[in-house]
Amino acid sequence: MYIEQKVFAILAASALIILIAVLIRRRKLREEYALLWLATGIGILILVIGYPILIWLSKLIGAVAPTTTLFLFALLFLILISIHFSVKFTKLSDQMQSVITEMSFLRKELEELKKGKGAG
Amino acid sequence: MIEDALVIVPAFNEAAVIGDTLAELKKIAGKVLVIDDGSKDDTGDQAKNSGAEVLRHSANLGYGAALKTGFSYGLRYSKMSYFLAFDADGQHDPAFLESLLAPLRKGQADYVIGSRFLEQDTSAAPVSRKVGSKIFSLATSALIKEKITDPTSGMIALTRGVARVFASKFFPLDFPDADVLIMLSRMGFQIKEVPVRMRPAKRPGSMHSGLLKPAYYLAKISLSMVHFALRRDLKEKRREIESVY
Repeated sequence: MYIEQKVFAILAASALIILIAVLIRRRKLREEYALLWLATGIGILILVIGYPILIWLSKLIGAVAPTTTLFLFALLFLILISIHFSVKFTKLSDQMQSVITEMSFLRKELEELKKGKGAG
Repeated sequence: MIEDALVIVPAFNEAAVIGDTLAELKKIAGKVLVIDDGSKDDTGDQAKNSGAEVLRHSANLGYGAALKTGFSYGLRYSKMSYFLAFDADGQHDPAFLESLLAPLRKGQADYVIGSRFLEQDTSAAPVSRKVGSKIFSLATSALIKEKITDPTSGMIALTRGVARVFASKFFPLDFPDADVLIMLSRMGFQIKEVPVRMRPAKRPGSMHSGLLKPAYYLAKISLSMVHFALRRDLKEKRREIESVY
């Protein structure tokens, strides 16, 4: 792995970790959603700094170049994150449906109460 | 006059036709509940002026979600023994509602479908839709080992027991269809079809119009059918639902 590749990977991973940390600090990202992103950044850092691990991993998966291993793992993390979001979206859709249903019940009750008060 | 069933009418932007639909429906049904699914027009107000009870979704959630709201409301706020689903666009003929309820009242079924194809083809749907419906009916019949001719019909009648399942997370929020029949059959509910006549919708367009929507619909229903066909725990899930609701 060329030194330029190493420096770039370390900078990119560090920038990702710092960005996530700042977003959590500003409460723009909740910890539960940040875990996979942090794992991605830390994972890339470990693989680049601990170069023998990257070589061992490349041999294990049959990758020709260590950079291929890095890209592959980055891609796998992105897929995992996408699945994670799909699961969250499903949960949010169900919750939204539930809230809108309850709101429709309450709105009807309120209309009936107002009507009753008006008549009384 | 039907006094033992709540008629649920999901409606989205149906202001132009819902008044006529409800006027016809109210001659036969004692209690009609319209779910205004986030309409941009005054569907909800028109329905209210026509004497129906109205629930209003603050956003458009889809046909299945509107039905689900109706079933949840019926279970919580009414003592009705049965529920009927009826389209707002004028396709459904209220004259057939009694025949849908008859098998439920006699205890012959838990879920009754108004079929356009049981006696003779009374559907005004385009050929492509009919072909799709035929494929689903063959697949559904094979999976539940019972002849189903119109699994995509929206004219249905059901017991409170089935409504409990429909008010749970097992009910699809977009297009409840053949997949629901497989789920109900696997849960041990009795399904029956009765012949009905359907009319052309009073306004153009449908929730399955366009190119992408039908493709998505086919893929989604197929996946959902496979999902329910492969599950072996649905009787257990039914017991869980019955213990919660």
